[in-house]
Amino acid sequence: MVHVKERFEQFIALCSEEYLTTHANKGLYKRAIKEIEKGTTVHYEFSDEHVNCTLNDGTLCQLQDRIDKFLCSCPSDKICKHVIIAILYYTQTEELVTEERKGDFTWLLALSAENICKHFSEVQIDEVLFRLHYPEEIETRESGFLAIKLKEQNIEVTFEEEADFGSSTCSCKAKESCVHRLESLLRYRLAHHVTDMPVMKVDVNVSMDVVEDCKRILAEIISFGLAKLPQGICDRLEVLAIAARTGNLPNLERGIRCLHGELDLFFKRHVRFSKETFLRRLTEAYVSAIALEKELPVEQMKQVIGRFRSKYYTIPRLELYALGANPWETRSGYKGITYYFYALEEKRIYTYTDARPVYYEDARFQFAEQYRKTASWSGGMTMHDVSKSHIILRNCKVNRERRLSASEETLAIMLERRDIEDMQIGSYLVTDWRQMGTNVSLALFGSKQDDILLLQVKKIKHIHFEQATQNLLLTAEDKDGNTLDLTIAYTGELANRIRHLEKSRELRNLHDFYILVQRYGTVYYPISFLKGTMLTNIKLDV
Amino acid sequence: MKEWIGHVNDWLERILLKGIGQLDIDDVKQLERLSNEVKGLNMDFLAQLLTHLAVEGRRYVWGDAQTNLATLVQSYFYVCQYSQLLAENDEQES
Repeated sequence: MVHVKERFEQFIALCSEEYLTTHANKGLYKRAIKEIEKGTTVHYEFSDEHVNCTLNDGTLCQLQDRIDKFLCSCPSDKICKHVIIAILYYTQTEELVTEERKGDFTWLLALSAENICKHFSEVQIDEVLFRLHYPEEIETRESGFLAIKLKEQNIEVTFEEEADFGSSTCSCKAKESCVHRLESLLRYRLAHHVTDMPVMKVDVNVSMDVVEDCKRILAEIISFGLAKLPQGICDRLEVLAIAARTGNLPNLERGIRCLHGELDLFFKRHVRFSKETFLRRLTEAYVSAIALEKELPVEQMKQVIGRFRSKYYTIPRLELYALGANPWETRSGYKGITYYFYALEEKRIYTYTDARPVYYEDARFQFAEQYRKTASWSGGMTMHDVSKSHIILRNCKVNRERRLSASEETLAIMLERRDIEDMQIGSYLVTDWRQMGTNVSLALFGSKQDDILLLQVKKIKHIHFEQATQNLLLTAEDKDGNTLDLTIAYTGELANRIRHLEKSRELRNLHDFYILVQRYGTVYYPISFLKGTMLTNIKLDV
Repeated sequence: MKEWIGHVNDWLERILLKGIGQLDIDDVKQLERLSNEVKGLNMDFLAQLLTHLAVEGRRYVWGDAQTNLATLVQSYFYVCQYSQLLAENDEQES
C-alpha cells in the first residue's frame, strides 16, 4: 500500500497545470478548479493497486500512477473533470511526503538504435529522422517520471523509470508508439550527446535479376550500335521498365523509360533526337546498374535506388521570406507557377509549385488567374500576396528537395516584411559577379536542382530585344562595372509584358537593387526585382 | 582541354552508331592515339580510362569476342561517364 501511495504521490508531483492541460485540456482544468473553489471535496482510500477517490457528490474515481490509467463512475470514457478534481484536490490538501526524488532515466540514453527501431515503423523513423533536421526546443522535467515537451508542437511525452516503451504516455493520446514518442526520445538523446540514430532500413529487396537483365539489354544496345539496332528493342525496354517497377527500382525504371522515349524519337527520325542525350541516358542507366551490384553504404544505396514518389513530411514551423514567383510552361504540356522562399533558420531556398497538365482538351491554366487565387494554405491570403510576403507556416509539409506541399492543415501567418538589404540570404547572394559558377556541386545520381541566385545589381545598363533569338535581354551591371545578360524568352502570353519592359523608364531608373535569377547552363533568367520591402515578379506583375 | 574532350566524345558517339560489337583495330588505334595525346595534357585519369578501354578493345578484337565483350562495354561506359562529368563541369564553370 505504501508503494501505491508513494507512486501516486510521485505522479501527483508531476501534475502541474501545464501537464494537466496538455494531457486533458484547458477547459476541463478550469472547470475542475472552479468546482474545488465551490466546495467539492474528495476522500482518498489507498488499496493494493489503486487509489479510490470519492467526490462529495458521490462520483467515484479510481486512479493509479499514470495519467492514462483511470476509471470514473461518470459516463465519459475519456479523461473527465472528476479525475482532474481528484488529482488537484490531493495537491491542494495533502502535504506531499515525496521528496523531490529524481528518477534514473539512463535507459533512454543507453537504448541501442536497433532496439529503438523495433518499437517504431519504418515510416515513423523516416518521418522523425527528417524532422530532426529542423530545430525544435525541448523542455524536460524529471521527478519519478521524465516529461519531455516538444515546445513548438505543444506535445508532452512522459517516460517512466522502468525501461519500457509501453508505459510511456503522450499528450497526443495515441495509445502506443507514436511519432512524438520517437521524436522526443531522439531529441532528448541528442541533447545528451547520444548521436546513435536509428538507421532506416533500405528496402534491399531489389530484384537483382532485373539489374542483370538491364545490364544485358543495355550492353546489347551498345554492342549492336544505333545503326543496326532492331526496333523490337523498344518492346524489350518496356517490359524491362515494368520489371524494374515491380523489382523496387524507381530510378532504373525512370532511366529505362527515358531510353525508350529517346529510341522512339530515333526510330521516327525525329529532329529532337540527340545522340549526346541518348548516350548520357544509356551511361546513367548502365552505371547505376553496376552500382546496384556493389555493396554500398545505406545512404548511397538509397540515392541509387531512388524513390517512386517524393514523400512529404510535416514539420511544425517554417519562417519564410518570399523571393519571387516564376510562371513556366513545358513542351510536354505542363503549366505552372513556382514560388521561391528563403527559410531564415535553415538558410535554404524552399519552393512551392502550382502546376497543371494542360494537354487535356478542357484543361486551362491562366497565369494571371492562378496568381490571384487564394493560397491552398489556411490563412486566406492570395498567392500574389504570398509571393511578396514574409510568413510563418505552421504544420507545413515539405519534401527532401525542399518543396512545400499544398495542404489546408498548413496555417500561413503573415509577418511584417523586412527590407531585402537587411536579410542574410547566405550562399544564394552574389555580390561579386566574378565568383559566379565557382560553387557548383556535381551529383552523379541525384536529380539536378534549380540553380537560384540573388544578384546584387547597381542598375540595368541596357534593354534590348533580339529579333533572331526572340529574347529580351536585360544587361545588368554590378557595383564594379561587371555586366551580365539576363534573358526573358518571348512567348505569346508574355508579349505585352515584354513590350512594357522594353520601354520601361522606371526600370532604367532603378538603382541599387536585387534580382532573383534562375541559372540554366550559362543562361540567366530573371524572376523578380527586389528593393526594400518591395518585390516585383517580372513575368506576373509588370 | 575542351577540344580533347570533344575528340573523345566524337569517338564515343561514333561507336554508339557503329556498335561496340563491330569494333575493329582502326578504332582501337585511334583510341590509343587519343589516350597518348590526353596524357600529354596531364589529364591522367581520362588517359588511364582510355588506355584501359584500348587494352580491352585489343583483347576483344584479337581474342575471344564473347568473353571480353562485357568488360569492354563496362570500360566504354566508364569513359562515357567521366567525359560527361568533365563536360558538365566545364559548362558550369564557363
